[in-house]
Amino acid sequence: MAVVPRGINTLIEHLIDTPADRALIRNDPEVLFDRFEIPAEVRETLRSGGRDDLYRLGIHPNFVIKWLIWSGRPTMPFFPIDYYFARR
Amino acid sequence: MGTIVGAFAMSHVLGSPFGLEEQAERVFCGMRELGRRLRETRPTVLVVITSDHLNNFKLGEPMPFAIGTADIYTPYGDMGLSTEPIAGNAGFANGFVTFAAQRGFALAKPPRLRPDHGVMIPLGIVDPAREIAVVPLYVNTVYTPAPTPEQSWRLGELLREYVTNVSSGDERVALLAGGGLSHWLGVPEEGRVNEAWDRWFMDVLAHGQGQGLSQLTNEQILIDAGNGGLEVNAWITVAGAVPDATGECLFYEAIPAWASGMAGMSFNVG
Repeated sequence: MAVVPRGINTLIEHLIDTPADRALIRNDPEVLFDRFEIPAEVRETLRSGGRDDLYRLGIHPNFVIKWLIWSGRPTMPFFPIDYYFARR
Repeated sequence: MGTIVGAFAMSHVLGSPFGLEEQAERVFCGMRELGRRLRETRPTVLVVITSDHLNNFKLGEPMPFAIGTADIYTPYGDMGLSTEPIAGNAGFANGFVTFAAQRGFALAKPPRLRPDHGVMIPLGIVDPAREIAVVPLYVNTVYTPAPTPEQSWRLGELLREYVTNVSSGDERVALLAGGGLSHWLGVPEEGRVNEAWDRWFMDVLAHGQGQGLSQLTNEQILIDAGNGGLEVNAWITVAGAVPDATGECLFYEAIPAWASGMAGMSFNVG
């Protein structure tokens, strides 16, 4: 597995701790990329790559899933958890 | 002397029911039956053994084994789950940390723990009224290297010794493993489920032969059950706490759309 590019783990861990900043992924990702010094050559993959593209970069699989959900391109469809828990 | 009054294991996720309503319903009904059986044991403490999903732990600060030591937790709220606070049991948890450390087994105590779906989906099903104090015990298989089956089994042994020899005499402890079974997540194989392996794994546990699973390697589990399948180490921890106990598969559904072998088991305790 590839070594994850500089800044990506820190970026995603920041977004785990700071949900309000997740909107920047769709609205202004360059702000995040600049703040966390993401290498230029991987930014397009982060913006539009799929699961396997991100995995090939060496991103932890759990972070791949989170990034894709926050980016609006999840690998599995959204569903309301209350479908189950409203009748628990 | 405290008592282990119940031991259970189940997948700790749910997926979209749309398009597979009947299968989703079988899973949910199986989970609810597991919950019913757990509540019947009238536990005073519920130890939920699971992996976090890097919502509370950093990649650069590995804590392969960890435990929540608070009297109250505010859940992380991922997957749209409630953030309504839940009760913990600091005394039980801190006592176990000390007990394990004295026997050479380190349990980290993460600061500001906010349990994610690994705890909260199982808990939401088995204790919907939030009546049981919870101790989140983490077997964090998101790390590389991950906790091994041998270490996980040992953790279960220590948990049994602690409950039966040290914890308060009126403590009734239920154990609930969350996670698994086979699944590949965030990797090119995502969507694969190894039903044959899942059924073999549960069959071994059901026959009271869980100790044999402690000899598995994570490398082999990765091949057979995927990166998410490493979460079966939580099941092995429960088996280590109730060695020789036979068990019963309460539900199993291979659901590629959820990228998971969805399963639940009840062990025959006491």
